[in-house]
Order: sequence, then C-alpha cells, then structure tokens
Amino acid sequence: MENGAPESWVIDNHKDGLFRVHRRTFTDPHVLALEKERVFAQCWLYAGHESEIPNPGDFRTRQVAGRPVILVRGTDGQVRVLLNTCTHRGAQVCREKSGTTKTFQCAYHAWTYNNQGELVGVPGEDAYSEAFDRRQLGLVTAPRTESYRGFVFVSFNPAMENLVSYLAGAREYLDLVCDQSENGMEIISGTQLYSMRANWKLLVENSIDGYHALPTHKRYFLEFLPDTGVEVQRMRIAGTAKSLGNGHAVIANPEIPFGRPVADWIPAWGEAKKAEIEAMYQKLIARFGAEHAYNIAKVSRNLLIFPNLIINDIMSVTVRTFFPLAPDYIEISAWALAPKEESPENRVLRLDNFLTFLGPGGFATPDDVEMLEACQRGYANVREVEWSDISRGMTRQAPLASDELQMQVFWRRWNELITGSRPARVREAA
Amino acid sequence: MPVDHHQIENFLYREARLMDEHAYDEWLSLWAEDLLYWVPCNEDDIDPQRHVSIIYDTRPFLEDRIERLKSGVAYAQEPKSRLRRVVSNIEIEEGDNGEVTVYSNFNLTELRRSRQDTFAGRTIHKLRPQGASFKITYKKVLLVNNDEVIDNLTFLI
Ligand code: FES
Ligand SMILES: [Fe+2]
Repeated sequence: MENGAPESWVIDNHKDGLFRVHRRTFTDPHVLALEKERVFAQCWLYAGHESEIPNPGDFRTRQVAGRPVILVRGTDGQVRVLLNTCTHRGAQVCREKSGTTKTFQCAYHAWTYNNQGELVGVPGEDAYSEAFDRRQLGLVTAPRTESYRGFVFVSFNPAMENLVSYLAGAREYLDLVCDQSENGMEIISGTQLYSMRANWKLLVENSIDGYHALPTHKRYFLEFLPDTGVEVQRMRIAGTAKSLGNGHAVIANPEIPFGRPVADWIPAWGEAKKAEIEAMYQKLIARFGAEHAYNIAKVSRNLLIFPNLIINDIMSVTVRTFFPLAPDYIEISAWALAPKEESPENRVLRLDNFLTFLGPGGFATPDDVEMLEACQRGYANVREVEWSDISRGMTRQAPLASDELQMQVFWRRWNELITGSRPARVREAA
Repeated sequence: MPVDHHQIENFLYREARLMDEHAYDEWLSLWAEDLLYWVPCNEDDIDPQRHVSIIYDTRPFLEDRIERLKSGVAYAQEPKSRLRRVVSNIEIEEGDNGEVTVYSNFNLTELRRSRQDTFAGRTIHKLRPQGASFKITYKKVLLVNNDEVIDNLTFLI
C-alpha cells in the first residue's frame, strides 16, 4: 500500500473469530481521498425523497457527496438531480434553498435553464459561433438517478448497476418502512443539521450499534421510557443483526417499548389512543397478514444502506445521511419520515418521539456525538494503538443486534472498494 | 398597575445567569405549570406540530431534559459547557391580567473541550405575574443559526 499504510486495513480472521480495523482509516487524509473516489463517486447515494418536491417545478438545493445539486421535479413530472453549476462559467445557478419555478436563471450572465435542466436562454446568442449548441449546454444531471418507493438516489458512476439490484436485501427492509402507509411515506417538513468532529464511518457504526444503546443512552432507556409508563421488564435490546448484501446491514429489535405511532401503543399516549393504535395494527394485519404486520409495527430496525444512508425505524422514522468534509469532521442531515395520511394528533406524538431522542437538542444524539468525538480523539494514539476490535459475536450462529456483525459487513464492503480486494481473511490477528 | 420594566429586566438577567451556571432546578422553578419551550429548526416561523423543531418541550419533556442534565450521564454535558451570555435589546408588550410578552436578544459564548463557539438569537418570553415575580409560560428561541449545522445544543438557551 501507498504512504506506508498497513498491509491491510481490515483483519477478517474467521478461524479465530477476530475482526480488526486499522485506526488510520479514521484519521488519514489519504484514505479520505480514496473514499471520495472509490466509495462516494461509485455507490448509489441518497439524494432526497420525492415527497419533498411533490409538484411540478418544486425544487430543493442541497449537497450530495459534497456536490451542490438541485433536486427538482420538472414540468414533465420527472424528478431530476441537476448539478448546480452553470455550464457557462460555473456559478451556482440556483441560489435558493427551496421553491417552485419554471426556470433557473444564472445571476452572473443570465443564462436561463428550464426546470428540466435545458438551456433555454442565452443573452446575445448571436455572438456565438455555429458550433455553439445550447442543446448540449443544459445543466448536467447526476450520471445516474433512480428512485425506489420515493427514495431518490444518484450515482456518479455512469456504469453503476441499477438501484434495485444494488439495494439487494435492503429492499425488503425499505418495504417494511414504506408499508406503514397506504398512501406512501413523506418527509416531514424540516431538516435537522448537525456536525461532529469524528470520522464518517464512526457514525455508520454507531447508527446500527445495539451494543451501545444501554450504556450510552442509559437514562433514556432506564428512566425516561419507564417514566412514560412502560414496564421495565420490557426494556431489553434482544434483536438480531443481518447482512443484506453489498455492504448493507440491519439490526431488528422486537418490542422496544418506546411507542411507535404505527402501531405500538404506550401508556403515555393515554387510553383513548389505545383503541386507535390497535385498530391501525389490525388494519396492517388485514393488509399484510400477521407476520408482516408484526414486523412493520412491533419490530424496530436500524438499516444501513451502504455507504452513508441510515434509516432508523425506531420510536419514529429518521432518514439520515452524512458526508465527510475532513477525516475528523462530518455534517449530517436528518429528516423525519411518516405516513402521508397520519392524523395531526399522531404526527405530534411522532414529532415528540423524534425530538426527545434525535437531533442536536435531543436526549440521545448529542451523547452519541460525544462518544464518537471521544473515539476520534483517542485515535491520536494511532501510532501506538493501531487497531479497533469489531469481533463481537463473530462466531455466533445467529448474530444479535448487540453483536458487531453489521459493522463487519460494512467494513468488508468498504475494504473491497478501497483496496479492490477482499480483506486479508487468512492473516492472524495482530 | 403599570408594568415595572426594571423588574422584568431583572427577571431575564436572573434567568440568563441560572442558565449560564447550570442551576437546573432553580431555572425550572421559573416556569409555569403549563409551559411551552420551543427552539424552531430551519426557520423562525414554522408550525411546530407539523415541522421538525430542535426543541419543542411541554412540561414533562422539559422536566426530563432537566433530570437528564442532572443525571451525570448526559455525556454531551459531561464535562459541562462553560457559558456566559449577554441579554439586551429588551422590548416589553403588555397584555391582559398583567401578562407580558418580552422580546430580547442574546449573545452567548460557549467554551467546551477547548473550543469556543458563539450563539446568538432572539428570545420571546411570555411571563405571567405570580406573587412578587413572574412565571414563564412560553419561551421561543430564534437562533441565528437555526438553519445551519449545530454540534451540540444540550446546554440551556
Ligand atoms: S456563469 Fe452562469 S451565465 Fe455566466
Ligand atoms: Fe446512540
């Protein structure tokens, strides 16, 4: 490897049940440069949700993998992800956060594009030669854009496999999230933005880490939830972990009593709600049968779609994506997802559930940030303490949510993409 | 009876000091039973029942926020932020039954883990007279940076 990198970034020792990750993967700018090329410029990345731009002309600007883009629904109804840079001399064409428009006009020299990205106006076009063809100078779309049940993804690799095959086993879990609604899911208005001084892969691990839930969020699980009237004996994290292919993974936890607006009642919501939530559950059973309904309503799940999309269908549904601006700094965008037909009253319960756990003012997220920043600070010892251990449950037949299989799945795929090879499986642990 | 502006200013200054000094119980005692504490996200004027906020606490949630901060395991405030804020530009609107709406600006310096951050914003308090003082029935904090990344908002604002 270049730059004196270790022989391997990942030790995947099946024989002895040991899994180790080299800590320079969290600190080395050279690794980040490789990730930008081999992970973020290849994989399908979440760009937004169709419900954020419900009508023709609706648009939102944001960053995807560090690139400014416009997520827009054209007059033709099609959702596009346009790279927000003028084909003239480069200015960001759209300078607003969101809105509805027929055209985007670049403020610099007033080139005008329609909401499908076509260049429709060039002031003083007669000054250009015959060879100048404005049909070729539309806003550039992300090389690949595909949607699955409202989730819009882009890939910057034109030759990328199609989205559905990329999603592999994660598709079934996205279905479980989407099947909560008869009319489709929507992003609730509002984006929580937060940052952490930690490597992006630490947040991947943390977002699907059942092992940390009780120690890091002790108070939430052992005091806040019991205060809402749930029985403490229900308070356990007893789920399983599963590899879904292509680096995707999920942990699924049955019957954590934090209350789920679809459709798991808790005493804090009052007796009046009980019948309504139960009726919702019965409806799911009627639509899907008992088993699928149970999985939708009573099982929470933390889903990783490789590399940087997290859909945590827990006390509320959060959609979270993030991108590294430096090896030790990321910015995170997080949204709440909900059934379109949800009643205003249940929407309030959902938002309460969301805010009391998630976001920069929540009762859990800030403690996660603190832990991940503590890891990152610890990695200043990387020369002397090179490896992190991610072996938990490696030899267990059916890995638990509190094991580390889901992280091993992520790291194997990461290693394949970064090194172009499979991890050093035979090598003994350091 | 005319509203005593000096008394209201002192109330805000005291509240600010209690927040700066992490005097959680004393701060909570300033609030009325039927309270609403709200920090909007992205925009100042949103519908908190239909839009994600940063904080939207009724009494049980605010009580839990305080219990959490006191627990010693709210790691995002262990160690605690060192805080000092200036409250100024106070404008007072008189309502019925001695209730007042108070508009003010704040500028807050936070130091934590060797990093110093500045937060600024506008606060709208609704105060209800009680005994010789007031209780806060409603507080809305319009952060200047509510549409930017925030890394930690676990101290009191
Ligand atoms: S850079 Fe956009 S019109 Fe010139
Ligand atoms: Fe966590």
